[in-house]
Amino acid sequence: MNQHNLDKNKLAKLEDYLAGDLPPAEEKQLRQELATDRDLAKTFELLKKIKSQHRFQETESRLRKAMERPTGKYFREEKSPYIFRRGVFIAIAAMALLLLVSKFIFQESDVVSSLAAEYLSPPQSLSLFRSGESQQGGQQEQQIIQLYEAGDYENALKLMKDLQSRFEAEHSSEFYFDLGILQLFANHPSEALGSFQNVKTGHTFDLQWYRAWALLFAKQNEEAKAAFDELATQPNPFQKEAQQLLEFLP
Amino acid sequence: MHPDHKYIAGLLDADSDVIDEIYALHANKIIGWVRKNGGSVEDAKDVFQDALISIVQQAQKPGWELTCPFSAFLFLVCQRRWYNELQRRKREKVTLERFSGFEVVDDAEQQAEYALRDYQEFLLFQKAFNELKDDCKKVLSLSWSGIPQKELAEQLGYTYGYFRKKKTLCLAALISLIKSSEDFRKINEE
Repeated sequence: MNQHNLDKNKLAKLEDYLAGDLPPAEEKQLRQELATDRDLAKTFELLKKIKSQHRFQETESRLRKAMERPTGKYFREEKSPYIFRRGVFIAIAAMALLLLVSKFIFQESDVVSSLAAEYLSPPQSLSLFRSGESQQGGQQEQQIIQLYEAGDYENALKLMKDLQSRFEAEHSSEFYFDLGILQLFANHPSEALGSFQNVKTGHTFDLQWYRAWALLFAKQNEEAKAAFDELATQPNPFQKEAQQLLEFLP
Repeated sequence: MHPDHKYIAGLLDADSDVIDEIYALHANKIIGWVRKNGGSVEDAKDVFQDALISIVQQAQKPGWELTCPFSAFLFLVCQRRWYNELQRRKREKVTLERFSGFEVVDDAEQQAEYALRDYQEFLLFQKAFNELKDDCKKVLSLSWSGIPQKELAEQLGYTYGYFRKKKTLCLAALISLIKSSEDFRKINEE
């Protein structure tokens, strides 16, 4: 009997035989055929298996149901400690990174800002105009003073730079000190450092004090600390402030 | 009768206390072993469940007896089941670390092999049966229920002759599905 082309009559007989419904004569004949026809014998074995396997279906379902509870209890996916779970780990790592970045970006500048608010104040007046060295700006000088006194350092700086470009040959150490002060308070610390470098005479301690601040704002922390340290270790108007500052500087 | 037969009896009865005891005693060891051999807890769960069902299927056979400690037989079946799974996944020969500390009688390994093969066959037959049309499933299920065929024919509103013919056709379809399955060929080659 071809395995894919089953003889339906034979199959019916095999079924009847299994059910004990086959008349004795036909049963005898079928037995003889089973003994000689290998394919028929195989189909008969398969039929028996199908029936017994089908009976097991109910048992299998019952068992699976009975195993549900202990399976849930004993085969739980072992969770790693809370901190090592992927999502939590990523969140913590991101927060740590943010904190680390903010430490450099924000925290340090916050400290500097709060120290500046407490210890840094601009000179009472611009020394250039106080000393009367420069008389050439005229009206523009008055504007710079007004802006400076009003705390508008950015616009004062613009006019100062304009003055610088128009009277290039006239600049003294006083001019550069004032320019540096405006640059410092207009938040251009690197430019201020450049201007302070051109101060050749005078302003011994106040130059050092404002230069140290410019270094701090320019994030040249070590140089700034060294500059404050010089002021802190010798008698000068800024000594006490310099000492206090050094206590708080990060 | 082996003293561990109580576990077999409990499984046959789907006794929840016995099943829980089996899990409590052996689940961890199976999890550890499967994980050590490239699997997950989920894999271990499947291995454990299939092993228990395979054992029950054998235990239902007339004359079957447990010939070694239940734990040893369970681990043998689990080991074999995971070996087969790894072979199926990797399609290559795999070498597994064996469970240690168990003494098994000679035929236990063969029994474990039979148990898994029978269960694999059960799954294959079940799959083929589920592919049949609903009316066929119903006719075959009823015809194997032990209720006289004439009664079943009446119950279904069929003539007796038609019921018999229908049953034979459905059975032929089922056998054809089974025989054409690659898994069936594999099982019979082994």
